[in-house]
Amino acid sequence: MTEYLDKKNNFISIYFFIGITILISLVIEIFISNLFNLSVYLPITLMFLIYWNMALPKDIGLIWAMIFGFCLDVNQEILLGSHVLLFLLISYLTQRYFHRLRALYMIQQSLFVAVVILIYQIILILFFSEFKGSIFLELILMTVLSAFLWPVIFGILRQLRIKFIQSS
Amino acid sequence: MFQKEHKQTSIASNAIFTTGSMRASKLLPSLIFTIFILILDINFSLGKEIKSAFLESFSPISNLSQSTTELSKEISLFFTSQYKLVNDLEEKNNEIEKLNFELLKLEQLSKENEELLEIMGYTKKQTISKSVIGEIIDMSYFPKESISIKTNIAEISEEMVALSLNGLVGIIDQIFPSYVKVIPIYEKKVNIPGVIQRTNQNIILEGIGEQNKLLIKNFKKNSNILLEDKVFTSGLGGKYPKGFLIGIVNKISASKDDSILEVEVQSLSNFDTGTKILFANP
Repeated sequence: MTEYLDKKNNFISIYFFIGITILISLVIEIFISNLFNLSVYLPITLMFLIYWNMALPKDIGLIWAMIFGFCLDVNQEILLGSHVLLFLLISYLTQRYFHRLRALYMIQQSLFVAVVILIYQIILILFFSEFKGSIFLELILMTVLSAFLWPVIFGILRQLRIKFIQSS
Repeated sequence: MFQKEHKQTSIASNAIFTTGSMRASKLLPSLIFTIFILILDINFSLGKEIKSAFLESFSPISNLSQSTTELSKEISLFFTSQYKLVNDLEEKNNEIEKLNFELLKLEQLSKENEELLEIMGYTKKQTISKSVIGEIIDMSYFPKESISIKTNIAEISEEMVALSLNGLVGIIDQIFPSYVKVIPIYEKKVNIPGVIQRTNQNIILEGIGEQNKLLIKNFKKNSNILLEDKVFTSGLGGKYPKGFLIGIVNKISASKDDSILEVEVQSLSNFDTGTKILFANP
């Protein structure tokens, strides 16, 4: 009889667990962006968001994408809603095709993430940021770095998810 | 049969990739809300205040990364040869600062020596019978200009005049137990016997209390005088030694008395330069 309630409690805890992991990713992203002072940031928050959208699409929803999108807008001092818009679209696409994405090999996933991040960065640069000459190099560097970073993030979050679900 | 199987596979595959996935209709409210905020921020800069308020909450993370950068720099410096180089550089910079200070002192000393040499040159003149050197210790500026000079008071008398690097600068106003107060030659009611160099005409110059201005007393209209004429001390009266430049004529005008010209002399004595003063008696 209490199965329904138990499930709900479990949903709330996993929901906040996702939020905490994305919050940590946000802090790391801000920390790294201040450390290197580049025009293009390493989108760790987006990568975390992609993972959770892919792994637990029913639990994550869109609210975290909005909250952390606003946080990044505020931190990077660009138009309010620009990150949110992109996060929402990427979350939607990931949640829409999560079956296909899950079935991909790790290299294919990395390539997918790299392409998504490249498009995300280009849109941010073209519509919401200032354009500089050195931005091309930074753009390529961040895309390649994101592709290499994806398996690491995927592995860590997967382990965390399994442990969390097992413990709860 | 084969066709039927194919159709089932096709349906199954489609079903797999659509079941449970996000519908576009779910995205729409969030998307509309975000676009609304975006438009508000573009048109009314609504986000400015929110941003400034929230940026403070992000500042600890920013500061943390800054201090991490500094710490990593310090650590990398410590473990490399750069550490020694930076220390050496700092030491050398300190040495350079000390040497620059010494250089400044030497330059000042050299200037003082030159000044002293120039002033002591006056003593060799035959027009000066007695002289005492003194050092400027205090100075007050226009309108009540004066300089205080530390010297050997026992050898000072009120009749002495003050000579500096620029020539005749003033007369003794008061003698105190440890110093002498000197006022400039253009002070009110100071009379100096002079001579116009070009015509050799003797005149009396009088201070009028205006900075660097002296007037020639009772200068007759038919006298020969031109602008830029140089005026020297004549040595008459025995107070001022002969041959010191007082100034140049810079203004000639008619006075109320038709028989007299008003001639203004620009004093060349600079009261506030130098560090030494020579008190002299003719």
